[in-house]
Amino acid sequence: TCFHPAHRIWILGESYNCDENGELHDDIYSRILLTYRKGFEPINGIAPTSDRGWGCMLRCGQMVVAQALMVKHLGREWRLKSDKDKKIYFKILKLFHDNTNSFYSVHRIAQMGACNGIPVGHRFTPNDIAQVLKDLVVDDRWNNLAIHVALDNIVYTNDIIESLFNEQLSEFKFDCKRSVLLFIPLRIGLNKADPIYFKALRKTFKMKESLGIIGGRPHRGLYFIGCAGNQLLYLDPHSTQRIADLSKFDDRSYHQEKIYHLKVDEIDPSIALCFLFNSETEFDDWCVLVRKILIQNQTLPLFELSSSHFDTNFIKSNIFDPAIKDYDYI
Amino acid sequence: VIVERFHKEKSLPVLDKTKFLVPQELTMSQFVTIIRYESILKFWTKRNRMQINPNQAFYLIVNNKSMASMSKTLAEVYRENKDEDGFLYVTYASQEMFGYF
Repeated sequence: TCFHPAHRIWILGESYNCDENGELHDDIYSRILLTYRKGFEPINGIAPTSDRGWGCMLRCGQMVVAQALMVKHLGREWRLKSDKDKKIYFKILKLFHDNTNSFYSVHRIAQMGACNGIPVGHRFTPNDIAQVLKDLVVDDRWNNLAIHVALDNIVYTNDIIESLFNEQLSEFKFDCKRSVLLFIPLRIGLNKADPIYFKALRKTFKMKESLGIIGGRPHRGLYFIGCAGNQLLYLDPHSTQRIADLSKFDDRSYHQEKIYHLKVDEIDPSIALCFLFNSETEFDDWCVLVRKILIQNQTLPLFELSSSHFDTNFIKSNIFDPAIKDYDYI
Repeated sequence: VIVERFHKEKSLPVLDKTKFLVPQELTMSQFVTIIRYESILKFWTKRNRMQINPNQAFYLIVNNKSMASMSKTLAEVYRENKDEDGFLYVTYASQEMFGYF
């Protein structure tokens, strides 16, 4: 792959020059790729045995969690070709194996989705997968990960600091510190993504807390992990592979050889930005950066930060006056 | 303000009123909170069959183009985006699903 030499290539907070193709390839190949699979044990004991056609957004969500766990336990600089920490890497990979027992398997996600009103075999929106993962992660006894989903285009910073970094709340003893995975689901247009947001989208890949963006082309869910100029680089869940045999430590089907990219204006407007914070300091630093490069001096910011929810008592006094017939008077 | 449902939207309920008269100092974020709150209220008082679930994504798109900026007041959004007929048109939508089926 050759991108325009004038553009630096950004992958989840790390950057490459156009002539560093080997390093770029190593980095992308080291990410865990999760694709459609067939021939796995039936979800719910009956059907289906494949997620082809409906599981792409579930796979994108899995890839975000996989990336979060890799950064947390192995560090962002870890590469697949190094022999270091192979055990931990395999432990992470096995969480995503396609059977009912694996913690973050498509089976468990689809079943948790069913609890939230999305029948098994139905397609997900980016917000759906974020909500399901938020519920699923609560029972994870190993990783001490919390998920926060920021709706209505606002990240309430106190929500994250007070509830999620407060380990006192947890009754379990974890070996590692609490990390927070933040999803910010957005809709950056109705039928087409509004170009006014493209610059801000590209900026998010430069942040070291970035876990990329889940979204896609219309109908095709993709996991965007970086950018080069106006191209977005992604991991593609759309090849249907047979279920892998992890007992032989064969992980080749979990990595992407090629570098796929598309022009940013081809994306579907429904997306979710993803970030990982391993400490409160990391979160504070991120807030400062977001205010500086995504909010200040922007006519239409991608999202906003606010310390806490405003007082909802005003609603009671303001609710609509039946005297005005034609309007809902607020 | 005229608030309409996106014509392809299926998961969010139809609001029973579309014309809103809003105090100008209200912020967009407060406006969204009120719409969510009223939808739940009307659901529980059985005036509506569906509610906007608190975990559901709900976006206000101004002029069929971009997301409403949440910290702006309705007066600001109105000034910048009002139609020739004097109304501000806002479309609400959740998110698209991905996959083929």
